Amino acid sequence: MFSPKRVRTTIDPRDGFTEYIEKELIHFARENPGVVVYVKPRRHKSPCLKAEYLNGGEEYISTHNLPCEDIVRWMAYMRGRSGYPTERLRKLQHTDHPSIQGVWTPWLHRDPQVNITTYPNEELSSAPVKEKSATEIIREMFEKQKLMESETNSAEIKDLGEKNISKVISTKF
Amino acid sequence: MSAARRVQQWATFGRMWYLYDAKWQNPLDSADKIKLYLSGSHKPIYHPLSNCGDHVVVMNSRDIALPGIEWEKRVYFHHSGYPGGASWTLAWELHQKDPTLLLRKTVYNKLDKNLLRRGLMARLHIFPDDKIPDSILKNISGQIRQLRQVPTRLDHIPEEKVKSFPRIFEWPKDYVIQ
Repeated sequence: MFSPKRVRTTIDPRDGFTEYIEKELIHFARENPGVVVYVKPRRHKSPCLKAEYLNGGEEYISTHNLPCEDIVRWMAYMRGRSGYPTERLRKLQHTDHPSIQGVWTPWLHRDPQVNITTYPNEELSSAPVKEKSATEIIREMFEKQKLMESETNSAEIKDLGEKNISKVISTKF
Repeated sequence: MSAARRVQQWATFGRMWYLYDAKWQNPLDSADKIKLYLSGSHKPIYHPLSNCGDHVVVMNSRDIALPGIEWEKRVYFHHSGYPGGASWTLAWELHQKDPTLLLRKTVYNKLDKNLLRRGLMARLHIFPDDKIPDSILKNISGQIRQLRQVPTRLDHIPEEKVKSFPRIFEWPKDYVIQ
């Protein structure tokens, strides 16, 4: 950390920065042995405080017309900062292991058969069957009736409960 | 990004190509399903700005089935931009002119009305029949299920099955069928 001093022919006693250097800077340097303090004179420029941090961050504060107490406060502020830039944190959490079970891929939970299918594929394309069609119901009833007839060995009219249909003749349609 | 993370990124955001057979399907319901795949809403990693949509290849768009009397009643409006350039075209007329347009317009109208829409439409490929160019067929990696069951034609059912169907009733002997 380094802070310049204004070089003048006549020193204005009201100048906050010269007062800081005369009175407070040495105390600051003694109290913070981990901070490197440079004082660099620059002509024709207003005084400033420039901080460089170990993680590469930088901070610049102009002390033009600032009283000594303000400069003390700014120095304390820069001492207490980490070097990270003052910006909005996108997220207030961080983790090195964002996924425990593994990140999703489009091939997760897919039958490996898809690797060897050629498209278009009839089985994969057909709509799911929700209800039995009337054709299927009649066929099933006919099969059931045939079974019952063969069991009892008679050609009587059977009562099939709520689906009440009379003798089904098995001839050519 | 390390090599392992890069490969993970490629795997997670890999773009799929889905095939959809539009034969006998309602274009309005089909468009609802297609828009999910185009936008990427079917993925757990979905975000509207993360470009995670997939390609959808639709075949047999000539054989789509609009419900009821919509073929005669549904009207598509178009204005050429010039005075007197307004035109109202019936669905069946539009379908005759270009068999892919109907489904394309349906999907376009179902998508979210934002700037992403055009990009998503560019990923939709519609073919009027089942002739798909090889370059696209090679890319296809999945198939979307149809919504409506396609009935089999009587002459496509094997003969024995047709003949073995039980007779449910018999006309009376004196009944005259004209």
